[in-house]
Amino acid sequence: MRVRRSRSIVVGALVAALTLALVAGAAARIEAPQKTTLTFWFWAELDAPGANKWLAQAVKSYEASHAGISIKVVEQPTDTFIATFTAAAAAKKGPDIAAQWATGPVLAPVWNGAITAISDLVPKSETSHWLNTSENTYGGKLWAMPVYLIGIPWVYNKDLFAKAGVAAPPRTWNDFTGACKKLRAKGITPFGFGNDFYWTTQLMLQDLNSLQDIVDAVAGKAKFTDAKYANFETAWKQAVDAKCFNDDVASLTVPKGQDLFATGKAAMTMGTDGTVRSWAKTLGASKVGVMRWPVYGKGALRNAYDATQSTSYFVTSWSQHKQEGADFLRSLHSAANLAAWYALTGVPPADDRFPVSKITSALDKTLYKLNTTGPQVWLQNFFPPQVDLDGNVPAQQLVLGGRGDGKAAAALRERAAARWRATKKDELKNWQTWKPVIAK
Amino acid sequence: MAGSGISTDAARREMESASLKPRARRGLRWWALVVPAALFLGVVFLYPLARLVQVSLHSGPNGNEGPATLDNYRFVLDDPIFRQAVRHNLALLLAVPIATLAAIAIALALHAGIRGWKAYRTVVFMPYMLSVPVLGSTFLFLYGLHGVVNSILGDVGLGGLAQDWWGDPHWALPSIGSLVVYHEVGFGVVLMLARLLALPPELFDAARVDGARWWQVQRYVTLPQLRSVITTYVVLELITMLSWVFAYVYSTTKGGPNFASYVLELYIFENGFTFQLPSFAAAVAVLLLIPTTLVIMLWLRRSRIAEVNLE
Repeated sequence: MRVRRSRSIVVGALVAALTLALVAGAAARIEAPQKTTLTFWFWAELDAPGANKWLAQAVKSYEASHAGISIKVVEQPTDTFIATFTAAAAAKKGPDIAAQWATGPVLAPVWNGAITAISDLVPKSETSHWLNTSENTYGGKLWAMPVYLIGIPWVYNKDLFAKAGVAAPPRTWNDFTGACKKLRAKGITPFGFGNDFYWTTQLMLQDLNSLQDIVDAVAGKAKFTDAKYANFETAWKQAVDAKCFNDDVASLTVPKGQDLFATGKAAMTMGTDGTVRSWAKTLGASKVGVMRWPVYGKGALRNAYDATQSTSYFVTSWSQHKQEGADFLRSLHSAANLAAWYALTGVPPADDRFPVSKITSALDKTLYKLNTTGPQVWLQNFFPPQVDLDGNVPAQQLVLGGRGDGKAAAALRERAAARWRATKKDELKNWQTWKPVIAK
Repeated sequence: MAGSGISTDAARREMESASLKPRARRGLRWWALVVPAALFLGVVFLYPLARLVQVSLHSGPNGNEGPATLDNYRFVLDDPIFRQAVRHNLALLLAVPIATLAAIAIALALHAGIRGWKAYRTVVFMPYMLSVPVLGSTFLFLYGLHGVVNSILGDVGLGGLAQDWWGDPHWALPSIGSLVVYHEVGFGVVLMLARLLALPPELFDAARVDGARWWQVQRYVTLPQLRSVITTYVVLELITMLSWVFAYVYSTTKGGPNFASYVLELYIFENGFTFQLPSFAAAVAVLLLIPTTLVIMLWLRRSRIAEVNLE
């Protein structure tokens, strides 16, 4: 009897303990819901030093106010920035939120079904404040969010200009080559530059009448060897003949060439807003002047500037947390985050709610005005990476290296475009129907 | 008799089973040794190779779309950039005799017992220990238009020979070739010196006693003894020039200016990763595998002949 009773006590205790454990477990599940983790592939630091710190702060603050959300930031290296996301897009597996350079690099995954339109997730009352959204608009939808704007202004050293008797920053190409000759006569290197990436192709824009022109050439409806697309190379050849560049332009990288300006050895160069700010710090803001590109072309876009939102941020199509991702992206445009962005990077954010009065330095005011006035086109965004690498880069190396003329350079670009058309037939179909809109 | 017959059968069966057992055991042991090795080879070598060929015959971002065709090979063989890359890899083969002769000369000099030869051996081997990107960055500086090499040429009155080594399309590839030679010579010297130090000194003494001069000793004693090492080194360098120069090119010119130093590995890298065209990359990899395999087979055949001759 005693044994049976004690056995039933033990069994009863076990059942009670099990029930308690189950109830406690269920309660714990109710009390602590699982956290949603958003993986964010981020890139911006190279454009805007301080961007990584800004994002870390923004994430910390967002996680503090959204207990159920955790954001894992994965910084992306520049060299593999496009390739890594393209591979993820092909596998439809990867981050919830990601960054890509605007226009072409954003639209290619849009066409492959890898991106969810951000205009489906964020109300128009919000997106209407974002700047340069036309860069990522396709099929009536906005696909990615801007954070900042940058351009490629030309800069000049006021002291060296004065020394050579160059009275004003060159407005036309003739002014530019004329200034080069005056500077050379005084033993000053006119323009510090390198030869490893594209930028010189931006001048092509000045002979175009619309963005449709460039899309047509990429898609094969026109040829890059046509005068409209090839004339600008002659301008660069004129600059080479006028000895505008440092004598080692063919073997230096662009940053090394720009260093000649930063160290006061060259009178001019071009660079992104962030680098211009750093040169102003090195040389003294009063010595550095900023100007638009001198005009060579005769197209309707000859006066367009080259500001872009650079990288854009979007929600992937395979994310299980699309709305949460979009909500976080939207939070990056809060007043506090916009102010923090400017404070940490010195780059004005791409949002019309940002109080311009916060921009105090003359240089920043000039840059902001350039970036937000008139039509804006960063032409590189309209070239598939394959055409850019196999066409624009070698074409620039040919001309700046003094080894070929505009005709040969244009033939290289057309060859690269023809190769792209032959190898990327699916992408080509999208380019053939694409009607791009200019940012204003 | 009947009883005796039974015992004979039993003895025969016992004998048969006794003779089968070791055979079966040997068979099992054979399988136990061969199967893991075969599996390892299959997983590590044969499967990737088969997959590479499969990708090269198909299309799409994962190389598994469409019917199997030779279109990728046709496209690649028609591509002027590919042809340019092939020419550049072939031109780089010229660096092999230069590196080999330099390695032989240095090894012989060190073997002659010059004072401090051990220190010199370390110095010569040092570039081989450095990573290629480090050497690439250093050579970018050395060969710059305003770099050390041109400065020295200017200082010794040979300023007319100064070149834009990286920026001039005629000099970019030879500059890379010289970087490869600089890196690889140390490896050759160490290989050859190790062989020379393993030879008995009596071999050289006997030749000298017979009245052989320094050059004759090298020609008739040293070089024949080095033949197998030289062959191995040449084969390794040929393979390097065909399919191991990516790091040299990427850390210096990235194939430029205007494709002047573009090589097959860069073609594979850009198509496979940057342009997301893995089928073209696979086709070139298969094409590149053919000459590399031929070189290795020739080497193996030659080694076998040498072994037979020795026997």
